[in-house]
Amino acid sequence: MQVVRRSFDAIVIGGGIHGASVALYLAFHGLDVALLERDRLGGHASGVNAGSIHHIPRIHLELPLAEAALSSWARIEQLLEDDCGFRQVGYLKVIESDDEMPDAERSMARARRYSGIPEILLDRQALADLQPGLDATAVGGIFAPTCGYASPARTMRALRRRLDGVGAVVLETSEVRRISRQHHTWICETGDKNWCAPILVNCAGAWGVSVAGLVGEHVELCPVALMMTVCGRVKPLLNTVVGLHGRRLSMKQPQNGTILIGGGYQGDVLPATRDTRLNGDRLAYNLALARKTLPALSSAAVVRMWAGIEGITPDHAPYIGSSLIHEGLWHCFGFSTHGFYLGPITGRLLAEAIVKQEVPELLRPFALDRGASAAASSRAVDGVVRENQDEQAK
Amino acid sequence: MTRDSFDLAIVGGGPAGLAAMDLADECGLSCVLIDENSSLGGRIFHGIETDGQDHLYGTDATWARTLVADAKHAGSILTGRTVFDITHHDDGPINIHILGDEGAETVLARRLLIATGATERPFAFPGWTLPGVMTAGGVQTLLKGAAVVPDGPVVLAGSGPLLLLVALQLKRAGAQIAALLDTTPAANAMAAAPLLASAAFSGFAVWRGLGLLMAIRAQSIPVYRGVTKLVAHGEDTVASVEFEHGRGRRRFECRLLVTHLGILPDTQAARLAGCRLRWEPALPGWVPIVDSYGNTSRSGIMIAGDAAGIGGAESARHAGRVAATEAATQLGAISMGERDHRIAPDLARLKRLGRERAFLDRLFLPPERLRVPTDDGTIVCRCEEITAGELRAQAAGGVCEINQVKAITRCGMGPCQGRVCGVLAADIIADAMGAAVESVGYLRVRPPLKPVPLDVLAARAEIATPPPEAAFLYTREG
Ligand SMILES: Cc1cc2nc3c(=O)[nH]c(=O)nc-3n(C[C@H](O)[C@H](O)[C@H](O)COP(=O)(O)OP(=O)(O)OC[C@H]3O[C@@H](n4cnc5c(N)ncnc54)[C@H](O)[C@@H]3O)c2cc1C
Ligand SMILES: Cc1cc2nc3c(=O)[nH]c(=O)nc-3n(C[C@H](O)[C@H](O)[C@H](O)COP(=O)(O)OP(=O)(O)OC[C@H]3O[C@@H](n4cnc5c(N)ncnc54)[C@H](O)[C@@H]3O)c2cc1C
Repeated sequence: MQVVRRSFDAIVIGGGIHGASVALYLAFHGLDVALLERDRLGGHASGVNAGSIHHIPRIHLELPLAEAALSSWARIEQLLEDDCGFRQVGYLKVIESDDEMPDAERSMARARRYSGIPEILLDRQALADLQPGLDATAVGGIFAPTCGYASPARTMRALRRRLDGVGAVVLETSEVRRISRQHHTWICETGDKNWCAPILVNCAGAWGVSVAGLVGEHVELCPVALMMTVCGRVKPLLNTVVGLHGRRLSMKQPQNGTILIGGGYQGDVLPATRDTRLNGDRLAYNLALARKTLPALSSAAVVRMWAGIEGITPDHAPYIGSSLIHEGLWHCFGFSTHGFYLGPITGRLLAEAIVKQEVPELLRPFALDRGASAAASSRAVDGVVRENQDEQAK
Repeated sequence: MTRDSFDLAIVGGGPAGLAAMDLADECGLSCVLIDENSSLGGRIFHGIETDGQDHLYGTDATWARTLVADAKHAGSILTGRTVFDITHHDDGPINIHILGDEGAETVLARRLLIATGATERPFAFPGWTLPGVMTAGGVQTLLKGAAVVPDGPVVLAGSGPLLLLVALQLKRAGAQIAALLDTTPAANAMAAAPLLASAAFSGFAVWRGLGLLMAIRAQSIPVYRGVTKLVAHGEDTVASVEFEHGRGRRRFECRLLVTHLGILPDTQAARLAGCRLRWEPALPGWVPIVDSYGNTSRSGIMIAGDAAGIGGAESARHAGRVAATEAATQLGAISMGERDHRIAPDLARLKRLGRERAFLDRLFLPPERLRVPTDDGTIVCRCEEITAGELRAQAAGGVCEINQVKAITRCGMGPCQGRVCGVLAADIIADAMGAAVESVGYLRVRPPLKPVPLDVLAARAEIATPPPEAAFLYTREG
């Protein structure tokens, strides 16, 4: 077999939103880039997620980056020459009972302390004015007006067009199976081809640990299947992205009138085969919460349900930064259910880090050796510790 | 709610499912038959349990009634229930999720036989989405189920035995038929001729087909052959149909336009269950990969009847018997020798019927120009209102895999899950790219198979107590 060898300035492994963004920005910096994707660009989490664009106050490590991410979405059209279906409709977290109030206030304090993301506390009346039709027992809400949602499929397509436009080489159905190093050059093998470059970026999402494992670097990650439900078109019901403060839920109504329901509920996953299975009990709970929150959903019809594969880190913050054992190797994966909205900003900052050989302030909290102390402090902020649960509403 | 566990669950109460039920019972299996219709019979014998409609089924009525009666004694019958999901956990039983008036339930079974029959090939031309344009199958269901007879002039357009049959059934029911527009290309008859001898020798369908043609002549229904360039006109509902044939363009007024372009296996359930498909050029279309006993690529899941490949009612009945016997063998109820003994006559008959089918397939092979609407404005996906032009634009941009086209255009993302438009979209894309249709692939099916009220799915949840979360198991290797 004739092995074809091609050389580049940088190789990015993984064609999700992170791989595509970092490849695009590296190309903007004038690098000759190849993006190697095992399946199809946007074929996994990045193309099938809920498209929510909002921060998660619980993970305070991420708040400064989240603020920058929100601004990057407001300018997405300048970057990708497509609005990517981004709608800045805001994000509302409904407070279900007075018991939740103290925690809601702490959550807002956290967002204020670590970022400038505006949040408004709504009383009963303001809540009803902002989003009519909510469960009458809700006592208030937190509204973040600069948040919203975008279309994942459309965003991935726009990224693809831009990558083609700047001359980056994008290869689909090209799984990197082996990685070796000669002098200062990384060699990635995909079947009968060898791809060489001094810089290698691992953006393999839930498979990030496998790719890291190919070069002998071991980090912890848990692959999960996150479930989504779509209801057929109904009359306009939702003005904003709606979630709950105390439980996991997310609902939005894109302009075509369908309703997307999620919340990060898990199905089962077989990462090796990329097979996922839905979990009926958790889906039922997810839908029951949706119906409780917005009773008009009772009459909606579920038309499609699916699961996408995501990688979760022990502290629920991504790994972004240089390898701890190799030069010229960078990692960017493990976005722990909230990586879509972080895509464009992370791509920009990581490309900057790679080119300037200096990690920008905003990315420093995500270094691979942030260690147990950072993880512990992230979880224990203000006494809120939630094991095995991600409050983020999708 | 979860129902009892069965040895065999059968989805579809047509000839295939009914015959399988009877035989499975004979072999000592406990079985359940699920059908979304309120009564048994499947497509061909839809409404057979209603009295006084024998004229619609002809000489078949007798054996059909026996089939239904036998099946009813053979196990549990769950009619009025739609299968909306099929899940299979490792070595455990197959979970068949069904939806009925009482909500959602789950049936557990050790073997599943999918006998969901066929669907009609979509026939798209300008105006096909107007109210008053219906498929032959849809019209037949109204006739058989509700004895509805259209008033005002009716025009039928397309190709295939079902179109002729429906023309006759309409006429006999008292409808006023203005014209039958036959789109079968003249060349098809030439190409099929060599297959006629063995077909005519082996079965009755060919003679039956000739009988249909003669009956149509006897009823003096005006027939136009070699019809092309159909257009349906009308404001709120169809008012007329225009077309071309040998002697130029013509137009007929009509209140109902019945269309048909042949049938294809209904592979939705098979795809949902993860069974692999293969391309069958004779249809042309996708069919599940099954061995001669009905086993699919998924262990425990079997397919018989038109859902496995178009064979007609008699073939379906034999295939159902074969599959049930195979299931009984796998479950240890009968020996392999006993199976072979029982099904030898069925297999022999299936072989002969296959020859006849080859003739019919060739005779009614729909030409590409009918499968691909030329007008860019023609709607392809009714749910999402996607036009042929929008799909061609994707093909021109190099997007050539059907699931990608779906992600981009939303074609096939609506409540019908591409049941209607999937085939059409693939034909259009392949045509625009100059590629083979099979290279375009087929749409993935996600649950639910048919829309399910949110209320029903939410019903099993207790809002105060979240179900246990999956534990996070971190790995360092992936
Ligand atoms: C159902 C669901 C809903 C979600 N909702 C939201 C939301 O509302 N908001 C939000 O911000 N986030 C959300 N997320 C999370 C978000 O989708 C992910 O965090 C993000 O898309 C991760 O992007 P990625 O590029 O790291 O990974 P991916 O999109 O998974 O991309 C990784 C790619 O790497 C490829 N790959 C793996 N191994 C190799 C190899 N060896 N060689 C070549 N390629 C390889 C894979 O094929 C894959 O395409 C959701 C996720 C899911 C699943
Ligand atoms: C619309 C139509 C009309 C036809 N009319 C005739 C005719 O008049 N004469 C003729 O010779 N042939 C006719 N055919 C051909 C027909 O397919 C075969 O003759 C024969 O009926 C095939 O038998 P079967 O058992 O494979 O499937 P079918 O008889 O089609 O039975 C399939 C059954 O499965 C059920 N089903 C499907 N999906 C689900 C689900 N998800 N959940 C629960 N139940 C489900 C359906 O309700 C149906 O009763 C017709 C085909 C079609 C598509």
